[in-house]
This record gives sequence, structure tokens and C-alpha cells, in this order.
Amino acid sequence: MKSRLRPMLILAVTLALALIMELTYYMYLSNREEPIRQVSLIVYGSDPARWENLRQGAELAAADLHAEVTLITMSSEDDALEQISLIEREITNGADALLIAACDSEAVGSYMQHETPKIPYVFVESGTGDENLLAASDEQMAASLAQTIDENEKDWIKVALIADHLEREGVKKRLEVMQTPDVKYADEIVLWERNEQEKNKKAQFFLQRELTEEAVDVVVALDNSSMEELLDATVNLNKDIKIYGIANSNKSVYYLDNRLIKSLVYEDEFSIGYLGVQKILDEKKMDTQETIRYEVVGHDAVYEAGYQKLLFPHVR
Amino acid sequence: MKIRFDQFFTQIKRTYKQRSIQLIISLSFTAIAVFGMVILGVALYSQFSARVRENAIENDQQVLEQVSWNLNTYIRNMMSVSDSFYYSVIKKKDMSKDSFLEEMDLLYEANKDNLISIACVTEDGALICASPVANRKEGVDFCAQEWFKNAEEKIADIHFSTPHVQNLFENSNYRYYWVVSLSRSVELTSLGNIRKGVLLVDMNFSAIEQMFSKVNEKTSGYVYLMDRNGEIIYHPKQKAIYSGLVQENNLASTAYEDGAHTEVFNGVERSVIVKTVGYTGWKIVSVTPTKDLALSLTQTRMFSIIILTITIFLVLFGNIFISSRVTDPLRRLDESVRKLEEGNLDVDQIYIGGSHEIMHLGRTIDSMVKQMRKLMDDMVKEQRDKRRSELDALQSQINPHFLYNTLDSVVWMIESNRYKDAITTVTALATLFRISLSRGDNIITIRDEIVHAQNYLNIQKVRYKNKFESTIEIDKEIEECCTIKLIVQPLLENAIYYGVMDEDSRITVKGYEKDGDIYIEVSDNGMGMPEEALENLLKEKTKTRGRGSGIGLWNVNQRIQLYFKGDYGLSIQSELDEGTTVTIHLPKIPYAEYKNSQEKKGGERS
Repeated sequence: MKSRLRPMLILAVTLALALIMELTYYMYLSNREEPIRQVSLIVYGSDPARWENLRQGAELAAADLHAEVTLITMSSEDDALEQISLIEREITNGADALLIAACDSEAVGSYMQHETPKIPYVFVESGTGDENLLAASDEQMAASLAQTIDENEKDWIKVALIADHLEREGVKKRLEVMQTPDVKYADEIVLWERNEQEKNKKAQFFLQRELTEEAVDVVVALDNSSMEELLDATVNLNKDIKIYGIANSNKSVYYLDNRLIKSLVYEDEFSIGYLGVQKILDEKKMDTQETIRYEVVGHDAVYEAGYQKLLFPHVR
Repeated sequence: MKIRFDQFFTQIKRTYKQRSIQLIISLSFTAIAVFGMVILGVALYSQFSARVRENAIENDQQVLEQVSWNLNTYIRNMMSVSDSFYYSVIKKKDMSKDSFLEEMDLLYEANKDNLISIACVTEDGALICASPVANRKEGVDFCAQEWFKNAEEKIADIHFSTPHVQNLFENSNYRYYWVVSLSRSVELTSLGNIRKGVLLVDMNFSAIEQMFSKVNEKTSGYVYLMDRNGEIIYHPKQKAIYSGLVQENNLASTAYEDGAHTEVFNGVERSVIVKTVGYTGWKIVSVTPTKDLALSLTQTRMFSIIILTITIFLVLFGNIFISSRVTDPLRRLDESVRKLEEGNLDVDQIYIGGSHEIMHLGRTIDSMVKQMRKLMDDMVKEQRDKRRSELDALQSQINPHFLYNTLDSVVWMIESNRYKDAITTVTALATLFRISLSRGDNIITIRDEIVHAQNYLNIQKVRYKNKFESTIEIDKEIEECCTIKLIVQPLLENAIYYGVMDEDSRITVKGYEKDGDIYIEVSDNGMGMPEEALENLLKEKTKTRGRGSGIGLWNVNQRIQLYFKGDYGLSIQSELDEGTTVTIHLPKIPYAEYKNSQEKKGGERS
């Protein structure tokens, strides 16, 4: 009897001890503060306000995933080396994940591909490829813009396309679509592209010169940077010009509200930030492909209930 | 299913019945204790968790009360701004002569942390004044705006809009303000005439946002604000909801009365507490996932399980220890009785120990065993003595016919003047009787036994008129060894009676030592015996009827086995028409040794 009972007792005691240790460990784990993960949002350009929507979306998702987002801007618009050095710095400083708005898709994309950092990253708004890029479809946005111009401008028109910042893959795609013969929205299209010498000067002056020298009905800016440069060039020029574009900066929205811009294709950067953080931190969302929405907003529709929620960062 | 269950239950019952008393006590007490503890634990835990949940809901309600109070205060402040300006300024002044601006600036300055602007417009949308002073935005039609329409619609009420971006004045630095517009219809006096207008107080939405964001700093759940139609005014994930990234059950929540509710939304069970803010009809909604309400219970649950596990094992070990102390004497008594049961009567002692009842039981059984052992010893001794006396009586018997025939032969010899033969026969008979008596000893030397056998053969030869021949060959080494007396003579008797048939009959006696034992063979060349007769010869108590000494082979065999035990005794080989050999198997015990041991015993007895 005793000899039969003893192994059972030893087994029972072992199991009980294992159970108690497991539960104690579980209690210890549940008591332990989970470390806050650091997400670096590395963007191009030096104006943090330009990225307000993106940052808000990223921060909201990060709050749910026990993470913090740090917005890192550059000192210039398109210095790929600077952006790469920022990426390296953030990795060295212990960032757990990266959201990158690439200033130069090829340079930064190539760096990320070859260096393959051991932390998750995703390109937002501007980058390379499709799988690891969260942005609205550039082709569709450009096509929608062309269609809007075509609908709004019924007469014979001459359109100038600002061909700048083409080192960003998205901008290049948009320009390609706008130049496709199948896409009918203008009777004459001209490209305003700076040569190497002019690239050393401010784009604002180049655009002022073009606006002054060449009579066009419509000027189209295909990205935020070009739009802001165009706005800077136009504001004090006192020239009647119709501006269309793809942009989502506060400045662009302001001039849309003030009717300098006639229509804007507005990409939902809040969603990009939100989904971007989920994609790099939430294991369940890592492999999902999200579609980012965009809206074409005319200057009369800025205060429509649906649009104002999209255009204006909620709390200022 | 039921049959299986019954079988399982029956199996458990059977197994349980077969277990030892210690196991039954341990398991039963443990099961009862564990059952009690689990019931108690579950009851206490249920009560505790229910209480924790109630407390969490009460806390949420208190938080909601506080937010409601803050929001009410804020709204009343804004309403009082509107009331003050309307009743103290607009009602008292004629706008054609007086300016409202100074009083409006004063009100704005006093409340500028909570509001964005104050404006007064005429019924046709003309701006009378605004504070802070700003340029009216070009192309903006005030009459088309929601706040204006609401005020025009219900002139007696103060109206609150949902949050929207202010679109009244020119902004600088791309600044836009999210506001909640408080508007009311006012009566303006101009040149003594009353005309309609609208007073607008644009509340700073940031103030509301800050009020709620503080509450939403709590770790689980959140609080949001919606108007009476379910339109969200504030939500910690407002922009994500607008973008369709997050869903909220706000429209369904409009149907909830003030108080606590439980709902399942997107597969998550949530505790929802609703509080309506007076006048505006806005609803403050607190949402907490039900599992988060009991978040603090997880540790309590773990701790309870640990304590319960430890307690169960303490109880189990306690029960095993106590039951062992109680049942150990019973077990040991059972073991000693079990040995007894197995027929081991040499058990030294029946266990006597434990409580006085078990000791009494042990003593009683011990006494019974001793009595039983004595009775059995007596019985065995009695049986043995009886049998020995019976065998002794048998061996002492001499068939009267043998004596009569021998004496008749002697008479016949004397009448025929064969005195020498008569003397030899009488001498042999006398020697036969002398050895037969042997001073009452059962054990004699092989030499004496052979002398006895030889005398018997001599007598029989006389009687049978030398019809057979006999040879006796005994090894010298065994002559002084022990044998039971009168064991060869019955074999010779059988050999003569069954083996002597004609003049060629021969009887041979051989004695020798083999493998440390003694063998004496008595062989004849008579007709032999069938196999079936051989089989029964040593098993049945057969006798030679009317002839011989009457001491059969069975008797001889029994006597040898009785004295020497073991494998000793007789064996018979016989073949029809060939003859029969009966072999006596004896242990080799020197007679002197036997005598010494007998003397020792005798000495001890005396």
C-alpha cells in the first residue's frame, strides 16, 4: 500500500509544485510593466506641422500597442544621405520599429533593402515597392486629378505640370499618369522641370519665372513640396492662375479654403500613420494589405461635414 | 452513454471497496475537504468578483458624475456668457446708437480660455460685432451655417452644435479652430424697432477635449460624448472613427437610459454607463470591456488557486498521516492474521498494539491461535502414537498358521527320526522369536535382520521340503547400519508364496550401499505380477489372507516412511514369467550412532 502510494504522492507533489511555480511566474509576468516600444517616424522636409495628420494617426495606434512615436524631420527636402544617416542613428539608439517617408525612393529603398535592419519598418506616403509601402494609389490619385481638371475646366486649356521631386517614386508615377495620352484633361501640357543649375536655387523663384514667362491656364503640383513651392511663388505674384494638385499639408488646405487652389486630391495620412504602426507592431496586421483612401476636394466643399473631418487635424 | 456511465461508476465503487482502509479514509476525507474548499472558494470568489465588478462600475459612475458636473459647469458658463450678453447688453442697447463691442470684449477676455469667439449677426446674416475682432471671411454666408439655422428654427432655445471647424473669420498662419457653437435667437433694437438676430458663442472644443482626455488617461476603457442623435462630439479615437478605422456603438447607445448597461459590440462584451448632460441632451458614455472590470481579479484568482492547491496538499498529507496512525495497527494485525490464513501456524506472535479495541482484538486472536496450535499438536501426536501402536501391533503378530505349520513340520521330523532337522527348525524358530522381540526395540542392525530372514528361510525350506534355493548377499559395510526390524521377512514371505513354483525356484536377497543410502533387494524368479497389480500394491492395505505373517508390503512401506520419512520405502519391479524384485530403500545410519542418540534422549528424559 505504502509502496504504491509513494510514487503517486511524489507525482502529485511535483505537479502541485509545477502548478504553483507556473502561477507565480504568471503573477510575476502580469505584475511586470511591459517596456514601451519606440517607433521612429522619419519623414522628409523640415516642417513637422506638415506631418501632423500622419503623426496623430501613428500616435493613436501606438497608444493601443504600448508604444511611443517620435517624429524626426530632416533639415532639407530631399537629402537621401541625411535621411539614411537618421535611419542609422535611430536604429543605433534602439528604435523598435521605423516608419519612413522616403525623400528619395531609390536611394533609401535600396539602403533598406541591402542593409536589412533587424527591426520592422514600413514606408509611409513615399517609398518603394508596393508590399512595404502604405500610401494611396498614385496612379488612381493622378487619374482622379486629371478627371477633376477635365470636369472643371471646359474650355481650351493649357496645363503646366511641375516635374519636381521625381526622386520620389510616387511623384514619378503620378507624373507618368498625367502625361499618358489616354488621360485627356488638357489641350496642351507643358512640363516645368528645373535643370541641374536651377536645382541649386529655390524652386519658388523658378516657378515665379515660369508663371511670368509662360501663359498657362492651370498649374498642377503633384506633391506637397511642389504645391507649397507653387503657393509661395503664386501668393505675391498677383496672377490669375488655377491651381490643382495632390497634397495634404495644412498650407495646401488653407489655400484651398481661400480659393487659391481650385481642387485638391487629399490623401488620408491619418490612416497611413495609424495602419503603419499597426503593421509594424501588431503581429496580426503585419501581413495585411490595406487600401488607403483619398478624396478629391473642391474649394467649395472644404466645410462639408465629411471633408472637414478629413482635412483638419482634429485638435489644434 | 448512460450504460457507460453506470459501468464507470460501478468500476469506481468496486475499486473503492477493494482499497485499504487507510486509502479509503485518506481519499474520502480529502475528497470531502476539497469539495468543501472548492465550494467555499467558488462562492467567496464569486462574491468577491461580483463586488469588484460593482465597485469598478461604481467608480466609473463616479468618474462619469464628475465629468458630467465639469461639463455642465462649462456649458452653464458658456450659457451664462450668452445670457449675460443678451440680457445685459443686447436687450438694453439700441444697436443703431450703441456699440456692443466693449462689453463683448470684456466677456471674451473673461472667458477666453474656454471660448474662441463671440459674434452677433442680424437675421439677414450681417455681422454686427465680434470678439476678438476679426475680419469676416470673404464669401461666407452666415445664414447658411448650421448654428444660424438652428437659432432661427427654435427661437426660444439655446442651441448647441456638434463640433465643426469655425468658418467665420479670416485666419492667419493656417490656423483653424474646432468649435461647438452655442447659438440663440435674439431681439435686436435698432432705431427703436425690434428685429431678429443671432448671438453666437463658439466654445473652444479643446476645452471639452481636455476635460475628457484627463478621464481617458485611465488604463482601461474610455469615455466619450455624443449628442442626443448619437453624433459623436468627443471620442478619444474620433479621427480614427471618422476615417473608418475604428467603430463605435454610438447610435445604439442613444437608446440607453442613464445607468449601467451591458452590450456586445464587435464580439466584445462591454460595460456601458450612460449619463445625460442636462439641457443639451448630450450623453456621456463610459465604455469598459467587461474583462477589464475584473482585471485586478486575475492576480486574486491566481493567488487563490495557489493557496487552494497548497491547502489541498496539506489536507491530503494530514489525512494520510492521521489515517496511517489510525489504521497502521489494524494493518499489522491484518498482516499477521493473513499469515495465519496462509497456514503458517508458526507465526511468532499475533500483532498486539494500537488503540485498546485493536489490542483486545489482537490478544483474543493470539489466544485463539495458541489454543488452536496446541489442539493440533495434540491431535498429530495422538494420531502418530495411534498409528505406531497399530503398526507395532501388526509387526508383533505372527500368523498362527505359520506357527502351527512349522510345529507340525517339527512333529513330522521327529516322527521320521530327523532329529537334527527338527533341532535346526526349532532353533531357527527360537531365533526368529528372539529377534522378533528384540527387547522391544524397533530398530535393529541389518545383520540381525538378515539373520532373522535367514532363519525364516530355513524354516520355510523345511516346510517346503527344499523346493527352492535361496542366496543372501549383504555388503559388510552395511551390516552394522540401522533398519526397522522385520521388514525383509514379509518380502521373503511374499516371494515364497508367489514366487516358489517348482524345483528351480530361487530367492535372492542383496544388500548394498548406493549414493549414501542402503538398498536391500528381495528377488524371486516366479511368475511375476501384472502392472496394475503393482500399482496398488503399495497404495492399498492388502494382506496375505491365511498365509504368511500377515504383514503386507503396504505395512512395511508405511513403517519405513513413518520412521525415516522422505523418499525412503519400498519399490517394486516385476515382469510376468520373469520374476519380481522388491527393493527396500533406507538411509545409512550406523547403529552405534542411533544408539548414542537414543541414550542421549533417554538421559534428557530422565
